[in-house]
Amino acid sequence: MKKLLMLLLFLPLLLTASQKEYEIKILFAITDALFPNTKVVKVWTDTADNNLFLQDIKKIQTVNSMREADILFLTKKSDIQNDKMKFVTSYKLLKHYKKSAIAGFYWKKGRPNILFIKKNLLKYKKKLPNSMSKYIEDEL
Amino acid sequence: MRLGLISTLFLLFAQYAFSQDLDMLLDAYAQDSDLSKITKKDSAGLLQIFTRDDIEAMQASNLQDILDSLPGIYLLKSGSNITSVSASSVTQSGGTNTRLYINDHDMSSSAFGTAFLIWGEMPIEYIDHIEVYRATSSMEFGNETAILIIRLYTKTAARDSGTKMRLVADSLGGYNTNIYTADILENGLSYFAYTNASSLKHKTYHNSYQGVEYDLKSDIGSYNFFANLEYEEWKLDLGAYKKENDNFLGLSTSKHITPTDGKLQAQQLYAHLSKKFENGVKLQLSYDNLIYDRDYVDPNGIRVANAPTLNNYNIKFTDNIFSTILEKTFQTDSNHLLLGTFYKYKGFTNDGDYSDTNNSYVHQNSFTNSLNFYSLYIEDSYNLGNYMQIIGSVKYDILRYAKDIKDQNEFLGRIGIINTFSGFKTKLFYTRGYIPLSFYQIYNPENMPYKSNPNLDAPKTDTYTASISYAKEHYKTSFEIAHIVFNNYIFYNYLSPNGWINIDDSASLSSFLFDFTYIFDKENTIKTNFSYGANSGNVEDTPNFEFRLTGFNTYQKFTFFNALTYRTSYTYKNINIGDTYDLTSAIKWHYTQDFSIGIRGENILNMGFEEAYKNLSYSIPVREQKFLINVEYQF
Repeated sequence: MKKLLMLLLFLPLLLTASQKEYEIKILFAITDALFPNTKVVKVWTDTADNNLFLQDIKKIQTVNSMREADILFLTKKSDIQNDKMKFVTSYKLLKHYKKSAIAGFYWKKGRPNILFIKKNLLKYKKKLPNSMSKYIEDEL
Repeated sequence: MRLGLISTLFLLFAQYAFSQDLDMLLDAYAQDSDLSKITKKDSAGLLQIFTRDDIEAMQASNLQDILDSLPGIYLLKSGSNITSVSASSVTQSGGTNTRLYINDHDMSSSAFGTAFLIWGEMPIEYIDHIEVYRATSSMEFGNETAILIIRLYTKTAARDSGTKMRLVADSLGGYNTNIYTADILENGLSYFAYTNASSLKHKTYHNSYQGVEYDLKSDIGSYNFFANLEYEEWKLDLGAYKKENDNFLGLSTSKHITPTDGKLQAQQLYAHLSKKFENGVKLQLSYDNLIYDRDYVDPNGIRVANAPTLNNYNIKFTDNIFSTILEKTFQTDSNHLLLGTFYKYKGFTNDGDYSDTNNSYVHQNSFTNSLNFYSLYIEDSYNLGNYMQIIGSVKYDILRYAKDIKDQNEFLGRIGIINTFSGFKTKLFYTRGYIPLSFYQIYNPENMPYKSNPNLDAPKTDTYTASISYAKEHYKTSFEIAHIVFNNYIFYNYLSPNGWINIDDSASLSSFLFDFTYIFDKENTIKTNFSYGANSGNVEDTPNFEFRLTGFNTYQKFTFFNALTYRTSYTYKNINIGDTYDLTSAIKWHYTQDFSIGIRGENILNMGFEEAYKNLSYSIPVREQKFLINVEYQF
């Protein structure tokens, strides 16, 4: 079941156990950087099957309504109009939600990428640790 | 309970610690996810991998850029402007011992038994990584046998979603331009589509005969298309490649090289469908159509078999190949068993039109044949404890031709042992195989314009390989030995009525390869290779010894690639070629994540490897001095 969830997230990469572990650790590192003083981060996702995977990430608690969520975890293109902070899993989505996407973790040019959008970090009053400053881009 | 608490605390601590170093995590994730880690078959032979990072740092734009970077393997250009490769000390002969794959698809022509006639200079922007297996047999890949296997894996929508353009232009007037686009749709269907147009230019050389100067041109123009569709475990590859080659030296009599016209027009279309089932069964179906259409024009005469001297020569080969491969794997903790079978139909047509200048001799011929090729194979790999792996394979090939050519039944066997301990890895393999025969060698009922021998036997090979490697955090080193014995080998005898004959004897080829790589960090490595090759005939048609020093470096937004290759002198066709030094360098500036610009120089010192040709009084660089500019943009 978990394999299926991961496939939905970074479809259709063939993931090994260690790759899944790395993804969980990377997503935790990003969550922890965005919410350093929050014990529980409430996350809403657009794909119900992602819930189990997200629950494996420490600090994260999945919720059923967007309104309750601290951040939206988006894996597919849709027409979400609200201004909630968003985390996306593709470059295409990063561009699509460029006004409210704060970060993305996605594959591009054959490599995994992490990107934070500077103006949205400012907009949502988020300050990253210095070690992550290299992942911040002014523009897409 | 306590254990659970400790595990939770440990996990929390680990996650906290990792959050401090996202760089390290991302690098580890990228390395662990490298596609070559998934596709490579370590047990298949002596392996060299060109990762995507390597290919991009090299700014490689066509297959020649890769072939020229293989230690102990020489990139060559035939007199008729076909790309080929050879092992140290010998020149290429026939090419059926080399196979090229794009994903799972065998690109070989049935007429010639090689893929290089069409794909030798193929642009590679749509390729993710390349694996080169030496001294192998191909049994692990469930296909026809070969000693050298080059496997190219295409980029995938999952990792290359978006659209990318690339333009390369060079100082000889050539260009290579391409675009690809890829995405995963909401319904789970993913696509990757790529198209390319390229012009590979070379200097024009000259040859004088009876006071007249003749141009020797070897430009190549090509168009390439590739598409991949994937849905769940279904995968469909569609490919098309069309090219036009100048004739370079053309065909001539034994006294002169005086081409005035002619070219090669070749193309290949293919479709390859594969489906993996949950029970370990994999089914592959494919179709190929290949056309090889060659014109030669020489006012001073073209010498062919069984006809007077010609001036105009046109030959057209058409191949139609259908292939079905069925495999099933059985996997336990310690054992991996592969059972496989394939059936291939290979249709072959040869149409020819030949004449002399005043039409005193005009001849046309046309003939067809076909091959039904059945194969059964089993491979078992058993892990003996944690450190030892024993591999055994057997394969039986049954070849039945529609007419005239004698039946062939061929057995292949392979046994090997891989040991891994304390950073060391050793591999020992013995392979019994054969060199496949192509229609070109065995079927031409008129023996005109070339001779063929329908009673030819496929030469048998005994291949012995041994390798040892050692890896630590900052360096890795390896030493590999390969010894191949060719039994009942074939030889082209102009005086024999059917040209090709078997020699009831054996010949051997040995190669030694030493490699040392120092890794300063993941972005800065330096690599040295020493290779030496020799053969039982003490022939030295290419250099015995090669040394290569390669550096991959990154500084801020710049990536650097430098490779210096030294090869010893040799003599071929009475022309001595001194020591050669090939320097290739490339610098790329990654202005943003989406835009980069680079320059690359080939044979920068203009002292690079050269090749001599029969009846030509001087040698010609295989890779000419050339400078390229490379622009890439993703949107």
